Amino acid sequence: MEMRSEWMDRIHRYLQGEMDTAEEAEFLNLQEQDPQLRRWVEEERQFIHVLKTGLHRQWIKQTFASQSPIRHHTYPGVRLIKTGKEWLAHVAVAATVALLVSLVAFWSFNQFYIRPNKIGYVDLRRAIDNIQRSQYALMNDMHHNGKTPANPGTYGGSGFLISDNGYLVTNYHVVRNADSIYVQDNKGNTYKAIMVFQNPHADLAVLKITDTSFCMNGALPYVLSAAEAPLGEPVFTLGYPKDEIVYGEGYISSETGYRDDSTAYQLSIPVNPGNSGGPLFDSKGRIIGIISGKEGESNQIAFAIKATYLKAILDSLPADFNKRAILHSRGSRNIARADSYNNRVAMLKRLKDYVMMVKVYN
Amino acid sequence: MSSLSVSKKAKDAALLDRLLCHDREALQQIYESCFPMIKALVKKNNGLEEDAEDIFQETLIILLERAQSPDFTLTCRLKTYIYAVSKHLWLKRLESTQRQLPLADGLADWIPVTDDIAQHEERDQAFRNMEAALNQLGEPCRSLLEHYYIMNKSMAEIAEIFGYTNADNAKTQKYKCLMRLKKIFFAYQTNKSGKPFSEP
Repeated sequence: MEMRSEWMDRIHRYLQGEMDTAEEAEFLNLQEQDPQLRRWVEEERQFIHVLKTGLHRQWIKQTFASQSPIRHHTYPGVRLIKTGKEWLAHVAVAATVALLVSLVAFWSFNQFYIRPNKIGYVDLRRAIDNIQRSQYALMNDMHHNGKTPANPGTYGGSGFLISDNGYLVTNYHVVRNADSIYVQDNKGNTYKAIMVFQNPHADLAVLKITDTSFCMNGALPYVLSAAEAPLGEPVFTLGYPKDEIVYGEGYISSETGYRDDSTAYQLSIPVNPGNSGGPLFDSKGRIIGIISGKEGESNQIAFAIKATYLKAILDSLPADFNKRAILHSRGSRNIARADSYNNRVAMLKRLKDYVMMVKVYN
Repeated sequence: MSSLSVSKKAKDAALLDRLLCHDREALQQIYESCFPMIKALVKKNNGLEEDAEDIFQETLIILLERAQSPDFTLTCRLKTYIYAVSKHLWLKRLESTQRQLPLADGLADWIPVTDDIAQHEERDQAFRNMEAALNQLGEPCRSLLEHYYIMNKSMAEIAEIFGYTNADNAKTQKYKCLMRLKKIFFAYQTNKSGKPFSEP
């Protein structure tokens, strides 16, 4: 009995996919050797299944039985969010201080961080055209009851989800100097995000969506492939060089990037400002890189950071980041795999929901 | 396969995902698109509107239970799945209450979802006991577990929503809630049916 409770934390972390690769391998090994442990894991798995179903059951029953039943087309407030008015003053002060601190930090950081001199290398971050965007932003506002800032943002890039609880990857240069960051999916839903990890040298940043309204369930439709992709591999990308998501396809034209940079691929693929931070997929729909820049005025020569470098930073992310979601995706739930994956159009329909526009305000 | 049907499938998958994290609008949407046909089915076959609603709720619970498994695949349209499960449930209820009046055409046809229903019913009592245990557990424990297991919130987010000082604190609370829930649940299990779970 005592033994069992000692294992409980590890069993639950294992079942929720919260272990890192090494710990999980060790735990699987332990289970292999210990039938008792295996039984406990199985019992907990079943208990959680019953718990989840109990929660579903309760939700369905209560929603139908509630005072304003679902059949009367009303949406009563459901979330309990703790924001008493007495907190407001404190929050305002704290936010101001935080803002000042972060501004000073960003300013000083940029004094010391000098980007490598790469003449002819163009970051694909997009300066947003206010006039072109204003109408679109207005539409978003109507959908979101004023939650979306009316200002369309100063710079834009792309990013993609790497977990089911709102972690995204983009380029560091996209979110550099940001006061605030918003991400927007291809349906126009906008969420507030914060930067939780940055590596200026690898030009990678990880964002976390902080809006509680963000809700996504289960599997990502892709995995990260850290294997080196071969020369000539057909590739494609999704990104936001404009307000709608844009698809581009091409091939790996060199196994090294700008000036023989071995951490990147050179691609022949059409990309434009705004594509930065977008995922690079191989022909099977696995992520093999992150689009980061292009060569000068060329419209065909682009560069992507190899996925190995993204994989390397996953261990540095906060504890609630679920690495399993991106490393061992349970695949495209509910869509028969063979059907969709033989067909690029169908594949994109699934993938595009997970590629987001990153909007930066500064 | 035409891209049109794939698009519908992707929409269904997205809708199901939202339903799985207890999105009320998704439930509304499913209600509006599916309930009329369930109502028609039940009414045409010796039932009342209340019966239809009951059947519809049970169907949604079965759908959610099956769909939360990582290996679940929706092999047909969501509407078709819901209709098939409802039809099966209504047929069974007619049999058990012996309201054996002539059925409308085609009701007894082959049903593609019998496996899912059988698997669910095997543990139906456990699910009902869990529902009762959760009602008894009370707040904020119940909501905390819902935010963690259903809405996939992290401990840091839960700490913020529920006003705990930090993620570790929230995690301790979650653990306590889970232990208390287990106690209540297994008490129900031994009272009502010992199977298929036993007290650890």
